[in-house]
Amino acid sequence: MAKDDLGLARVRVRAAWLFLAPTLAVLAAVAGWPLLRTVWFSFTDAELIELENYRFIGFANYLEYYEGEWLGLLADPQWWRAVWRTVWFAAVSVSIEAVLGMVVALALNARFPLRGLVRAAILIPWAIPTIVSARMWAWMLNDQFGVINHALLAIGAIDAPVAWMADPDLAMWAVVIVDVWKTTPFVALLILAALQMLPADCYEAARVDGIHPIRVFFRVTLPLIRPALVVALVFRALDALRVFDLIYVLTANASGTQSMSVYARQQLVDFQDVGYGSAASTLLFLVIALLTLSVVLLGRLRLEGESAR
Amino acid sequence: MADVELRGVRKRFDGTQVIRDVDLRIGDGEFCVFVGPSGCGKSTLLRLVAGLESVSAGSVHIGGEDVTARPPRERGIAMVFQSYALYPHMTVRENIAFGLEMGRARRAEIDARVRDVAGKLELAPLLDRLPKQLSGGQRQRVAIGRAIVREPKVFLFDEPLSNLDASLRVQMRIEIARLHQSMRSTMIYVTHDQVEAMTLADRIVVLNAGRVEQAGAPVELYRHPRNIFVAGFIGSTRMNFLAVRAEGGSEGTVAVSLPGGARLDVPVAGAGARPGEALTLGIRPEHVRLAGDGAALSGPVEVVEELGDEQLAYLRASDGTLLTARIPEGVRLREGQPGRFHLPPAACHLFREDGTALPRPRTDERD
Repeated sequence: MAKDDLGLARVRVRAAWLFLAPTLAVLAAVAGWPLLRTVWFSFTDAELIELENYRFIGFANYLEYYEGEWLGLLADPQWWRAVWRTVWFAAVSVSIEAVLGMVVALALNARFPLRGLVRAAILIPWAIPTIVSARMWAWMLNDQFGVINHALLAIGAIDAPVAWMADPDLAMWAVVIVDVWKTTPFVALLILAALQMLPADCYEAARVDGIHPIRVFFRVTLPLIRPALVVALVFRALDALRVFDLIYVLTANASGTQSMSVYARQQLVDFQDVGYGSAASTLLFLVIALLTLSVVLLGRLRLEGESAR
Repeated sequence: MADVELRGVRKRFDGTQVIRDVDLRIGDGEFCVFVGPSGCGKSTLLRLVAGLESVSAGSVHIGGEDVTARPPRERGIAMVFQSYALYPHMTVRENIAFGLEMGRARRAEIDARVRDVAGKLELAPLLDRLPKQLSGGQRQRVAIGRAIVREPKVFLFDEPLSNLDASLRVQMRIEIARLHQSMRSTMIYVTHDQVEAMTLADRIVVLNAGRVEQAGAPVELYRHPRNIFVAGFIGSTRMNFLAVRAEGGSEGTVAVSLPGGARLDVPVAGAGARPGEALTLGIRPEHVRLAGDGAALSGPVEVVEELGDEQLAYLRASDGTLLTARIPEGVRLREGQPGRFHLPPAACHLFREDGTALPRPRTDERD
């Protein structure tokens, strides 16, 4: 009997591997191999113009002491500014998206005429490719011809046209605004899905018990949709940390608004320095991996803390 | 005083009339049960009392005040839901206390009241558990605890026991009856189970298609159903119905001819029926006798169901009707054999073609 069980388990495990094999092979080809290759290049002095000729130079791309000076990525203030800027961007835009997404989801969860139409309409910004929406916003924010300056001038909010993309601080906020405009629907959609799973009778019980709607939101709704909210925000945070197209289209290579990805691309493509750019890409990967791990671990600790209570 | 009064209440959902002109007064401290088949509007009527739905016409009064326009929280009610409606992420303690924290009661007082209720409902050892760690019966007790801790004027129960298994249902039924005895507050209870209705109620309201068919004490509904619907609905084994024809009769009796030709003089109060009028004769299975005088129906006994302490025998009458009789254990009846069912005239009900009952004499109050 026990032997049969083992035999069955072995057959099942083998079947599972069989089904997984195609996916694993594709993943290895399109994700594993490029990743490993990038890590490998980060230890070399490869250049884009002749990719076959390179030497292994160890950690020199990351950090190197040369003629009384620290060199390499880890000693590059511009890299660290890009890291800090990207983290700031991720934190600010994801926070705003969480709050706005919640508001939109709660509104869409209510019953009103034409709800289906509004639900579809709100998804449009998310459906537009980033390149297109970034280009669109770039024109809207244009200092001479942009509709936003025009509108602000018309209502008298500003006296002279604002050069949105000239000032790095202003430009970063413009990037945040466009990102919020684009991805709030995604967050709202995930929250809406969670809201629709909530037990309706609990809300009726709360109504009968006379509990204030705001209190119901914080004590009942929020705890119940937290798992979905965390998933949405982790997704969004990972996306935001990798941000590239939006910033590149809006502000090109301007050093004042460079994110980690834009920095890596500049090294790789513009400066042809595959080794150094690969090092930046590898660090970008490590930073995101570390942040994700800490979020997941923190979340688990909190969950365990709650169930132990 | 917390009597509940409905005056001319109507409710329509998107053009469908769900409640039609309900007038009802439920006295202070009364245990009133709304009963009826699914879709009869009994839950809707309860939700109208709660204020979870608004009336389309008419008014709702609680404790003498018109509460038609007030939200649920200002009506002094508490409600127990069929699905328990516990907050899944809160412990039993938090579930019970949640409704209290609003009233700005002090922490120590809330704690004392939660403990008091938990003691009453034997929930004390479970206070720190989550709903998912409880059995169905325990969850139902938490839901009841959450209602009583608020000390409402009126309790509303929406099919609270229908998700429980049979033995637990009986136990919880007794607990709810005990609760009503000790609290003496007005309770309105919705169920589709007529046994629950009979055992719990001071007064039963039978609803059908959004209308009150009859309201009265359980025994009143059992003995003097106003129409054929109530007669068929009340009673643990459904009443037998036979198509008969009025033959005549004097004041106080109607003579009818049974299928097979036998004549039966059924006592009625007041005027009888026109000779030749088509009537329906109703008799409860527990009143059918296997022996005795009076008219009888004969036919083959098709099925005998052995229930242990009694048996249910099904007899096919000559017009094709299947009659049920509850007979005591020990009496030998064989399937497929011919049998005779005697119908004691005093236990018979007569209904006109429109379903209304011919009133029965009230002097005879034995079973």
